[in-house]
Amino acid sequence: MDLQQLLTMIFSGLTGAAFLALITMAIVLIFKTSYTTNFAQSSIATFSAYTVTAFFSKYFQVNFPNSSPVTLLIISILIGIIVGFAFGVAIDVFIIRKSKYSNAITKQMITMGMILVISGLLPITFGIFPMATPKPLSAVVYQIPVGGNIPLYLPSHNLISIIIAIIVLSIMFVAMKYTKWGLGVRATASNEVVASMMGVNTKFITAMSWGIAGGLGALAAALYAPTVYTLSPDIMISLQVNGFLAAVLGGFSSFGGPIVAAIIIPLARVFAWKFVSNTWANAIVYILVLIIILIKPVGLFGKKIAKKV
Amino acid sequence: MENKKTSQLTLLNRFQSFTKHPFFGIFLAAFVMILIQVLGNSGILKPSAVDILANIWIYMIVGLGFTLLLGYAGLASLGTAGFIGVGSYVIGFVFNQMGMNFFVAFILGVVLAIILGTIVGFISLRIEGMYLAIITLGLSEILVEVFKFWTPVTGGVNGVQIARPEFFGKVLEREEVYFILVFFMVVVMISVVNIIASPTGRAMLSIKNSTSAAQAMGISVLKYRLMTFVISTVIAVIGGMLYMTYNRATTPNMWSIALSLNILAAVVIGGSKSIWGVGLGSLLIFGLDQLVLKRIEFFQVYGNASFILNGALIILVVMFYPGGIIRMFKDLSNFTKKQINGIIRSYKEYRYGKQ
Repeated sequence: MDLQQLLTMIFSGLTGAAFLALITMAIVLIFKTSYTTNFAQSSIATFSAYTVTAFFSKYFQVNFPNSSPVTLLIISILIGIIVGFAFGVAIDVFIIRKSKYSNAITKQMITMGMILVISGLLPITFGIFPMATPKPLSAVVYQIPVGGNIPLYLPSHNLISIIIAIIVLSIMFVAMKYTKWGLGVRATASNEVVASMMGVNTKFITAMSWGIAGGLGALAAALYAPTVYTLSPDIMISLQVNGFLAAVLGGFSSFGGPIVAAIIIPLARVFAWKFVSNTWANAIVYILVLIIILIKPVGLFGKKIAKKV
Repeated sequence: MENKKTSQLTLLNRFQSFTKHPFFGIFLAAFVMILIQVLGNSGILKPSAVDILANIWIYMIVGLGFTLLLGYAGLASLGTAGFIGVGSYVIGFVFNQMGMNFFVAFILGVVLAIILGTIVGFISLRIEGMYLAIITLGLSEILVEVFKFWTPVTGGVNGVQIARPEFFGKVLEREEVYFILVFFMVVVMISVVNIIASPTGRAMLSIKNSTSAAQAMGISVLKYRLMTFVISTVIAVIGGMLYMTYNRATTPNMWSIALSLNILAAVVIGGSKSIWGVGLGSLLIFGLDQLVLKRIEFFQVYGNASFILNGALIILVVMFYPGGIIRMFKDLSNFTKKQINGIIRSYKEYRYGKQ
């Protein structure tokens, strides 16, 4: 194996990591503020991806044929993010908050019910036929010479996805560290009751977290969908599964740990795909994660949280 | 004269105590199920309707295991469909490769269920109850991949078909498999009722209500949670084996997460703490969809549209009415009793004046 092959593999692993890190961030954000796992994350994201595609190919391209497709796509993605945001806020405000009897498991069940609702809504809203996803930048491929004869090919869509993911996640981390909202999130995460007693508007913080998680999922889906060419209701499920595994692997107790795990998992998957088996890459990664959390139940970077009664 | 009256009374008492026995309802349900098959044979019910009902009974068996997990141990799992799939593929593999050996298939299936359930359950429940859903979600995805790509055993995307099962040299007709199914239903129902009434069931319930209090009473949380998960896994695999024996075909796409969610919906909506709730829920979720909604054009065009109803009902029941539909009957009867008593009282007040 030469350098060029290795770099290509790392690049494709990092592309997967870009999508996965966004989804993982969303999952951890909701876990931290609401203390539940949002299984509807992928469904909301898929709904937003459908929205993006529907707006782009059925509305914008028909009505503004002369504009540049990139601008139109960016506008569509923004609309998709808004839809995802609204969905997230709505779930928190109208369902989770209004729930009479709620604990971690009932909240989980509510999000599972949400999966069913959205998977039923998708064909009714967007039709039953598969939609091709817009990919206006796929023609551009950067070539980087790296020794040897064959240059390194970097598809521009993947490169842009990585850059966007890095920017968005950096903004998230900076916001978490320096803004009032970030402080509120961290306070709510450490103890919701005490945070609300100290004057943190935990309801607003939680609703915003659900909204931002929905937006992050929408962004991830909008970036991910073009790499699978056609939309179907279950495109995001494998990403969601890996997102949860990353969150478990990194440990739910921090924000950084899951993101690191979200970079490790796609890389491990790519290497397992290359060196062990084409078909069983996912299974190998899953078993590896199981072994690691068998040895270290709190995750690679987690700390044990002592619970008081 | 006096003597005869008392003997009549005791007979009545005996009948009453007989009907109040927890197994009476189970045998009544089994009788109704057998009656359905008899009606199907005599041509009153369509054979297709009997088939649909038989599949509903299978999902109900799986749901019974899920009741223990959800209603008593307070855990949610997303691997149910994967485990049903494992059961169906075990039957397919054993029947096609080793001849029609029911006992080998049954033992292999149960052993596989115990191994899978123990590994996954131990790793996830060690950390926290919530992790079970995450880890089983991953497992169900991996299982679907195994069904799809382990072609020598699972037949790849096309799945596995088996011939009519033979039992001691006799070829079993569909009706006879139906009776086997009813037999398993009775066995599973009786086991679940017994587990619920046993110290194990009370330990599960105490863990659901307060983990810390249960631990303080000396109940091992991990042990009972793991036990419940393994029991429900075994029941799901048995359900899968029954499914395969009855329908004689299995494909990977059937065992996706949507089925797990629909079984969850059946259990939650019917009432997660009662075996009758599971029956009602399964009839509502699967029966309504298969028998009624499939005939309406809107639902034919948009295949998954009925999921909206299931999902919305899950959310509503979890939010406002955790007892489920079975609770509604109790509440309704209490409500009518109250109303009738109130009417009688006001009538008496009107008739005889206030006392």
